[in-house]
Amino acid sequence: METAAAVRTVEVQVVTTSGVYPAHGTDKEPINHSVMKALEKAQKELDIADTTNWIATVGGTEIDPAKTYAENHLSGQVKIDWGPREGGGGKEVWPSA
Amino acid sequence: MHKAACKALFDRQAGFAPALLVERGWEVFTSEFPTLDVLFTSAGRVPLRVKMGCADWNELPPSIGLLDRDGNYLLAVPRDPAGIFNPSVHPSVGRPFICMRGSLEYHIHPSHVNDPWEQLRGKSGYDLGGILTQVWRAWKKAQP
Repeated sequence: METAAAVRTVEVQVVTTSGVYPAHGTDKEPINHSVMKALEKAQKELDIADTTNWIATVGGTEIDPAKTYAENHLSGQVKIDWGPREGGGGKEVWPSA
Repeated sequence: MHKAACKALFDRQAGFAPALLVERGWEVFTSEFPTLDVLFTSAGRVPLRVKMGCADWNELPPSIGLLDRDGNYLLAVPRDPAGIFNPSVHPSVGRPFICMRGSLEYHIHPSHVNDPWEQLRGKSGYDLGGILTQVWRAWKKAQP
């Protein structure tokens, strides 16, 4: 039998420049599921080919998708902004610029 | 690349969901080929307008102009930790510029001609939304 804590859920929406998942409203996810599960669904539904070097943020703070919502201290309605991390500037790539 | 193909690809990549615009504080001035013109806003920060010229997308990366809200090119740019906002005058465009892989100004800069766009074209983070996202993230980390 599941405990009350185990069935607690969050309402999740993933926003990207390729679209929003789900397109309307939110998905209910158990609070003890990893954030990655929602990102994987979004990637599939939005037909995003490659998410190498992407980061997920909530309210401007980077989260760890490998961890659960609870471990990321997320609850209630969770809007995940997902997209590529900024690249290095010219100074990092080529010191002469 | 044929202009119709450039436009088709642009149109597929330059339409952003309203939820994203609200979440990020973006205001789209135009997303009509060949220009993607977006204002970044955030509480307590001076807004930044990013105008991407995409006439040859994605044969070439977008030329990225940095403007104020009213459309004037910036003479001084924010300073970010990674140095993506380059305050020096670009030898070709004559203004401060985005010195980051994925901007035309980077790839045609004499210091970066050995880092060709062809290596990035079509890769993760280098569609129009991805490049704009990278500039936005750098802006968010820059001095207000």
